[in-house]
Amino acid sequence: MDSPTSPAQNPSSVHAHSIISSLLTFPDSSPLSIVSSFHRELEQALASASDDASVQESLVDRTLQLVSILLESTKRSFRKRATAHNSSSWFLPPELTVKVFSMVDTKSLMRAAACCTMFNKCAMDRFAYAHVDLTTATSQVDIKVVCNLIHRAGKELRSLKLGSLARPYPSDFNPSLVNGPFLSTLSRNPDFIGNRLKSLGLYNIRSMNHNSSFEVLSVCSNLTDLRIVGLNNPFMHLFKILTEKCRLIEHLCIETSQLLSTIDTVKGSHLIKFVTNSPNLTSLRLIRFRLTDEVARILAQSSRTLEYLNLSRSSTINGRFLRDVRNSCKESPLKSLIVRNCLKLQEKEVLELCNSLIKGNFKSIRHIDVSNNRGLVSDDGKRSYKPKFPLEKLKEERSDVTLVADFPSPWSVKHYPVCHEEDDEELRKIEMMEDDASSSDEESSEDDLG
Amino acid sequence: MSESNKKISLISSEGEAFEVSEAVAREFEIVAHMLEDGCSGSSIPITTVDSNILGKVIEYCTKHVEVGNVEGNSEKAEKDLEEFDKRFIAVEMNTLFSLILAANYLNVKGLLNIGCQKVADTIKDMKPEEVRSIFNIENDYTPAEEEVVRKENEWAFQP
Repeated sequence: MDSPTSPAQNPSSVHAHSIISSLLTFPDSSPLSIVSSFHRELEQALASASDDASVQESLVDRTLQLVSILLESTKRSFRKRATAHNSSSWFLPPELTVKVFSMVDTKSLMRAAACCTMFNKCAMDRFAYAHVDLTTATSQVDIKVVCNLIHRAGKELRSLKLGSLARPYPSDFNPSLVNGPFLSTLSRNPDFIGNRLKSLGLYNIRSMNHNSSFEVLSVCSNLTDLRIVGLNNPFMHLFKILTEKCRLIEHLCIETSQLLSTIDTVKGSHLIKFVTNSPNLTSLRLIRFRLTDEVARILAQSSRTLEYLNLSRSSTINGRFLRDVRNSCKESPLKSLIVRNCLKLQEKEVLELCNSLIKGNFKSIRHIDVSNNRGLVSDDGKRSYKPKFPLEKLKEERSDVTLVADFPSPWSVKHYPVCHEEDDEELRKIEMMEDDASSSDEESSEDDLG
Repeated sequence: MSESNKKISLISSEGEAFEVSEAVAREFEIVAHMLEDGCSGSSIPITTVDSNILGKVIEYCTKHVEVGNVEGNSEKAEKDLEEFDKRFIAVEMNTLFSLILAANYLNVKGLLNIGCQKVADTIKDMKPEEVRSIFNIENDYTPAEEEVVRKENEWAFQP
């Protein structure tokens, strides 16, 4: 049905319609011919108004305007077609596109949003920011960016990863980048809905040495997964906050970047309390912790839920704690025990552990890893790269247990890629992480072995 | 239970029937709900999924049901399943999208997740131009709009 204002009934628009459609159906001859005829017509029109400069001027203006309208309109049609084309080549509905977007790191998400208008719309959805991961863009991301992303995510924020897996150089210092003091402000940021957060990863963040940095955890009461890499300075206060505020932690991974003082039962009381009192804790990674064997024993024995314990790169434990752990009661849930690259780990302790396993002790255990790039400490205090463990017998008697004991010879350049087969790439890196200071520190602690 | 041996026919959009065990059919949450709602007919039409994709989804669910039933060496089984998943979604993009749509419609959560993750991994670390060419997407921004979007998240475009 034609409405009264329909263009078809308006004489001037009928005219315009016929001009434009004849323009569109212009014979597809050489482009030169259309240029030359356009040029000729315009010149003629200008010539016929040669006595009045203002008429000429307005003619040129009008032509320019007309042409640019045509150009814009053509481009608009092109874009509309492109939009339609995009929704047929990317035929996921918006809610699934948003789901995909929630699975990429935030830098890649921002780049995808610049591809087309459909992606941009989907990247406006709060849910696309459910997992904010800025570890791929650390040096470009300042506090403002983080706050903006937290704002976009709002109540949908489930996981947040800040910092960088690679240790920054001291010269990289830039005060506006994400740092410890920023974390302490986060707990007061109204956009930050901490109690919705399930997973938090803080990687090599500067100035995390103040206890106030950990205050952010006090608003994250539903956190199940916490990973902090590159902690320095005393941080035992952290475990106090975790025990009090984060009751639902299941997976905890902490790596220290500097050798701290030895953690005995007194210094580690908050840590012990945390492990003993966390009802859901199933995996615990304390990488490069100077724990005493006594503390290691308590950690391995005092939780009713802990299935995975990783104390790799400890430069203090010698393995004595294994004696008590292997005799733990039947109900112990511990399935994996990882003590890789522990400098002082003693050959004889591992041997005794093997014998005890063969006798049928330590029922719960399925996986043990004692691999070490620098061998184990033998009875005479030397480093032993070829310890004799009854691996064959162990296999026969305890087919349910895998003991990984790999010691590359000292002259081999190839270091054993120390990792648990199930570990993801990131955890692997965390465990292998070394910094410049560490090697010399560990050299010196090796000296006081004898 | 005798029910576990029961066979159910799933009918694709082309009308082709796929006979599966009830356990496999129950992996499709949408079917599980139908069964619980007393829809006891032995053939269930899946009108929005074609034979090719329905066959694949059934293959996925069958494998996952099989592995779920095996007792014992669970670590190895899990790794096998991971390998299977990886191979399963190593398909060209249109098929992957169709699998995701089907998994979403039939409510097969595992497949939906690995499918979306695969697409996400493809986008990861790509420049906008690269994403466009991978997914056959055209730039439908005006230059001004594109400038705004890039400016807003300038940090993501620095090398």
